[in-house]
Amino acid sequence: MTTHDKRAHLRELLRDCGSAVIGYSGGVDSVFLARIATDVLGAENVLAVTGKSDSVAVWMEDTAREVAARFGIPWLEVETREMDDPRYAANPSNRCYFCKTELWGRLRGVALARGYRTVLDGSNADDVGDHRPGAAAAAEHAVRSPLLEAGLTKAEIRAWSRELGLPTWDQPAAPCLASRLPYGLAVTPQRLKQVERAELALRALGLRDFRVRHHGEVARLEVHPSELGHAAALREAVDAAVRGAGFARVLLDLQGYRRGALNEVLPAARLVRLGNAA
Amino acid sequence: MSGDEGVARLQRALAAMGVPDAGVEAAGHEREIAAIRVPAAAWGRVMEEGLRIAALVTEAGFRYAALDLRPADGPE
Repeated sequence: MTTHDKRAHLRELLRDCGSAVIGYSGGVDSVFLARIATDVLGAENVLAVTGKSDSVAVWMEDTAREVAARFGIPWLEVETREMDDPRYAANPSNRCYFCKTELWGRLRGVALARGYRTVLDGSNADDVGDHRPGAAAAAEHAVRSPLLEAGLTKAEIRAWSRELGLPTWDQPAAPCLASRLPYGLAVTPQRLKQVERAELALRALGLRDFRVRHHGEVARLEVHPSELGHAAALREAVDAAVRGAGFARVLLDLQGYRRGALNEVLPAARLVRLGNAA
Repeated sequence: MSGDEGVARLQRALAAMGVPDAGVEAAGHEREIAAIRVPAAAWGRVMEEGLRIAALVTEAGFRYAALDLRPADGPE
């Protein structure tokens, strides 16, 4: 299928939805989906909903709010309470299942209360094969993934976002803050706040594509290989910035940032891949 | 391989790469990180050999290879 065909297919899929609540994190995919859905269905038939909790960085929440306002996307913020679920807080390898169960339950409730027919997420064709236990929760709540259904890849979504003038078109992937904690290390508001503060400070130093991995008292920085030289040149400032967030020691990972690094320890049998999650 | 054996092996490998004064220790909440600390002058060499060192670290039983941002000859 050509990119042109995929675009037409996406519009058709959205028209069939009639009206939709969209899980809207402020990331590349959900912003794009909300923008197209508003165009296709009309603002009166779309509601972009952002889940607010300790696991979502404040800058993501700000992006979600600002983009919605700028592009006329109806927006709502709802509090989610995944931290209250001990199965989530224990940080097992299927942690995302419990978080997404909470999120999609809340969004399904919003849709029912306000008369929206469908609930959508921003999963795309490149997500197939990733470890995505949250996809099982989406399936249980009948959440549809029109970008995935249309076969749109991340590169295609970025290109279309750029054409539309969306500021998120080149935004690095930004999963929730809990993804910085190795499985088995309990998720606490304090640890999430440490990660958020450290990443904010590093962004202020000019780094863009990186993760602060929380290993207890140690922070292990994964910086994209293209930015490793920059991080090395700033090592004293980087060390001070991360220690300022409450870490006792700061280590720079020699392999650099790679997506899903903390899943590398999981045996294949424990991976839940999008595409076979239901 | 025990943690001590892994550390000794890594130190030998780093010396063979031209970094003779590297300190290596297990770090992290599961001691899964090989934390490497070198004098400031050796920093560039370790960065250049990063991927090769990471491969050695895995063979030595650690999950991650990481360089301490504080040099061994700098302030604590």
